[in-house]
Amino acid sequence: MRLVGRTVLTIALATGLRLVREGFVVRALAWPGLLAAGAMVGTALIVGLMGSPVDEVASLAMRAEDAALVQERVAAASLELRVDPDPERAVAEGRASRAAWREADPGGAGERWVVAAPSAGPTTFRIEAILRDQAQAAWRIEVPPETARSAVVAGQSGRMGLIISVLFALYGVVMGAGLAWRDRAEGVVEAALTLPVPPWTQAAGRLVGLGVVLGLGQLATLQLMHGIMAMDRPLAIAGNGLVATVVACALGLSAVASPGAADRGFAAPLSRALGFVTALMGLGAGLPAVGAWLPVASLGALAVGSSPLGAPIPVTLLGLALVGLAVRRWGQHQGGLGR
Amino acid sequence: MSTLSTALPRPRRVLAVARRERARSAAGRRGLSLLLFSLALLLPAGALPLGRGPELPAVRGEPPAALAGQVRLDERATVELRAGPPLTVVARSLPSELREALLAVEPQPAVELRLAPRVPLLPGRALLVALLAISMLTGPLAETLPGEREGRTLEILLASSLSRLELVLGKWLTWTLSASGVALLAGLAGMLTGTLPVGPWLLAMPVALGFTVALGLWLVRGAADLVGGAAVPMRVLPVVALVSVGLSMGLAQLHPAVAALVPLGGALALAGGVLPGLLPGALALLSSGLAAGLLLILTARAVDAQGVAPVPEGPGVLGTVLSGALLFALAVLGPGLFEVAGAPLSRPAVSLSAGGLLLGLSAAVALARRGALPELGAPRALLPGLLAGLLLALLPSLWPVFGLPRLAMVAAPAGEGLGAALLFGLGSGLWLRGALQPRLGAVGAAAVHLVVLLPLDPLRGLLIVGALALLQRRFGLGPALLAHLGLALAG
Repeated sequence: MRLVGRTVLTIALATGLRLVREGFVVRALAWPGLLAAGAMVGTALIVGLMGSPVDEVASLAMRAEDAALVQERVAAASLELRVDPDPERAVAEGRASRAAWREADPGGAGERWVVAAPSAGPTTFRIEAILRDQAQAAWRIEVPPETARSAVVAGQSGRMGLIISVLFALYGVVMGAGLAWRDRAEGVVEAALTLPVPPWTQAAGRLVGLGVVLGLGQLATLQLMHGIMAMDRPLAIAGNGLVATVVACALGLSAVASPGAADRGFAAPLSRALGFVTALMGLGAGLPAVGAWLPVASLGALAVGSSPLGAPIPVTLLGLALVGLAVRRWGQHQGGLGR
Repeated sequence: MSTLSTALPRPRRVLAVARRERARSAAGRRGLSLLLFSLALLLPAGALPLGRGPELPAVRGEPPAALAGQVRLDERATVELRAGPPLTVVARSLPSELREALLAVEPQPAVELRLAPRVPLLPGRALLVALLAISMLTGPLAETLPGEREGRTLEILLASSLSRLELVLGKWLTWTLSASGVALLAGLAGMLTGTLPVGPWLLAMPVALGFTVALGLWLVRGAADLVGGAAVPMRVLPVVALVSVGLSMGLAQLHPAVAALVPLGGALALAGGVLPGLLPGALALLSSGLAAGLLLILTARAVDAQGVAPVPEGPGVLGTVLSGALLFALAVLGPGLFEVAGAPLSRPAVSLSAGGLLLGLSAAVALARRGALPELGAPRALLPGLLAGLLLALLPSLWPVFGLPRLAMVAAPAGEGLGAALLFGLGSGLWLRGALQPRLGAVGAAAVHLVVLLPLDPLRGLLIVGALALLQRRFGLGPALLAHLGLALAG
């Protein structure tokens, strides 16, 4: 038992050291963080230098008689009022960004307000709020002051964390399959079979080493995202993401170490494992009620907002079971050399 | 040799390479396995109805009885309803589904919005099929040039009378036709089930996949083996596809013809049905087609120039350390930049711990790549480290230190500072003393310390970085790390 434990740890350490000495692994680990953080900081820089489109002083064209009804509220909403006999034309000719006027309601006897705008953004929404109050409509709008952190940003940052977790899970497949492929091609698997330890220890050691390297890289990247944007549900994303990455490593390793795998090349098993992982994530997104309880699929379920209480336990246990199956499969088929 | 690659490719030879590539990939069960899995993934994506049906808009608060069955209650919703009359909608914007639901409260809207016509932002099903087909190309691309290189058959091919361009074109043709065939099959299945109408995607999808294969071949031109060849496209292709299609869809709001000029993005947007008109469609096909041709020529030249393209070396110790510094700067400066941009987003204490973690990890990678740990120092040498740490810990209270970490810690909410400080002390200590000083020497490490971590206080910072560098040089890594921890805790 002691020998088995020592073998697993030694292989894990050697695998970890081998991985971080590979240029493509280091680049792969740094890539998501640099890309995502660079994109976010670049966006902040551009918004900081050019000003937020939300902060623009929007102009509203109205006829004189309509403007007289709402001019105080329009001024209070920091909108620039432009009196124009033909407000709709003022927008078409670029003399104002938005226009509002009254016209006869085609479905009733009274009048209604019409707002012409390029988009239904926050500024148009503020104008609609003023006009709804003026018209004493059946429902009115209250625009709350912008909080330091909007719910939209919280959702977006969470999505960014999920994309990173998905990317690391795909890394797991490629690196798991790559480790097994290389070791078999270089004759390392044959040499390891001569050792007085069970063959499954080879898979367990590789998975521990790979899991630690990828897991640390994933945690650091998520922490970076969390540092910049304070992600929504960081623990759920990190937990489900780590399980997905470790399971993906096991699936990749297992795909290349299947019976007769030596005859099947690298591309087909790799594509199969990548396709399986993608399909699991799709299952989670398409059927979140089921996917939330399964490893890998739980990432897809999280993406559509499903994270039931208690799901982390079955996700982790099933993930460990899948890793166990992959290790057993390696042992049974001797890293793909056996039948 | 170079004249061979610049000469026009001979179709027969290109087809011969393509036939060989197909035979290689279809050998044994591997070809069937790949085809079946591609179809298993793409056919449902093209032919089955997607989504979970229309979802009710989420609100919180007190929806009136008239909205029963039209909205769902969710405490995290961004829209709050307050009972009236009149009913008050508290929100910063209104989803169109909720606006429709509110017709139950106000059948004749008191305010009508007339919005300018915009290019549709939601792409169609064909884009999903094309993106999935792109994701399936990782394995096959690894088998092309890297597979030949690993199997030592590339040398034989290069020694033959084939030109480099014919070799690259043959491989490109095989995988473009295979990927396009499977994707079009999924699209045709979608046409049969009614999920996909006949449209420009029939042309755009093969062009987008042709560009992707050309880009993939260029990316793997220097990969030494299958594993390296699989890692690069997997990392780059999804990002390029998503960024280019996002860019194209953003530019489509300016003018569809501008959007069409984005290579790959234009073709994917056309496949997704967000580029209306004949001119944008033609431009999208042309831009991706020309860019694919250019990439194929560049790949052929890369193979041509040096026979077997050189294997790019991984980042050196210095590169690893510098990327760590960049990540640290992003983590610490990022939230500050959002503040400047007028959208404060984050908590600085977290960013400091992220910075510390990233510095520590980049140091660990650098040390593992070098394979040697700096001398830790004798146990009795820990005493000077402890003393130096205490002295440095006292220093800021006598003589305040300013710098990025200090700024971040000052802004940290109470209770979150200690863990972040410990992580930062350990991470920055390992990075500076463990990875950087053995490589750059005491003076170089001190200069980097000053520039990266204490740029706002160079004079006082000089004393600190000098003391820490000397401590490492005289007593080893252990005492220096203790001093770093002391300094971080004092901050």
